[in-house]
Amino acid sequence: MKRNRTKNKSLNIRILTLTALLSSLAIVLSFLEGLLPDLPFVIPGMKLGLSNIVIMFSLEILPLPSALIILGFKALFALFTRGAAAGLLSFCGGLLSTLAMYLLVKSRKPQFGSLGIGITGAFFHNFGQLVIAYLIVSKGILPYIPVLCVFSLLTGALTGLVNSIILPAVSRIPYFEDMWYLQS
Amino acid sequence: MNRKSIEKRKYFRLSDLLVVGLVLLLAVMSFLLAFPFEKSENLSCEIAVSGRVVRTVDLSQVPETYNYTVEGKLPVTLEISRDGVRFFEADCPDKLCVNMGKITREGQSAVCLPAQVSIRIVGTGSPELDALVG
Repeated sequence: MKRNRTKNKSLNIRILTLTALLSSLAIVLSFLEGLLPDLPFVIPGMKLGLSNIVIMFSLEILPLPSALIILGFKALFALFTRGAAAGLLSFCGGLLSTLAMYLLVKSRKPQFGSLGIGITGAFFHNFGQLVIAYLIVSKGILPYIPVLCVFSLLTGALTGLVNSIILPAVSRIPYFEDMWYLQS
Repeated sequence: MNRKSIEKRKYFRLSDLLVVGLVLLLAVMSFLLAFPFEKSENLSCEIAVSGRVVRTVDLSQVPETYNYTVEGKLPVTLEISRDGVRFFEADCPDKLCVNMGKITREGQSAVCLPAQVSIRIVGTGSPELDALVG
């Protein structure tokens, strides 16, 4: 009994540290992404979504609150470095995409692959931002939606691919081994 | 058992096609909604004398081409048809307005300055721009 509790404690600490580690990774990735030159056809606010890889990964091995904390940190980073509007966009897009991906990750019947999860995440991330942008500037957003969809297909396929390469590799690391059991 | 299911997360599963299909469907549907092909359906022509709109003709309601005389500073006759409007005849000296030809697209306009009559094609949507020069 006591042994079990210490084991749980160590697990909690590892969840905490991993959440912190992934938060900083998400921030670094979204910063690096900001350094990339703007693609000509891309509407401002539409991003490659590299930090979506981190969220996807955290949804697989960490409980949902950890993923929400990670996106919270990411939104705070956007808030401090790029202003209130960017922070709000980042938070709403991130929240929507995290919840959507969570449903797909947890879904057992049917089971989804990284491709579908990545595309869902990318789509809802951009969609959430577009909706907030609409609320702010109240201009027609309908013409943007086709671009958004095609863009999400491409970036989602990419982030999904990265994640499907990372996951099998990480699952062989002993440090993460009993973390998988936490997910029920 | 659960660990196994995570390790088994594949890149592609059949249900992913559902996601791809839904996103593509939304793309096509929103594209058709945003850029309808029948753009000329609801064009109308505003006829103005001295800058004041005196009459608006819904071009889609025009059964066949007819002439319409406007009493401006000078009388001018417009030829109104389903696909556009032109100055048909005017008592002005230079006939610039008649030479402008038919205006057919949203945002186009023609003016007869001596008679102070102007015609303009308007749509229900926002005006279509040829180019934007800053």
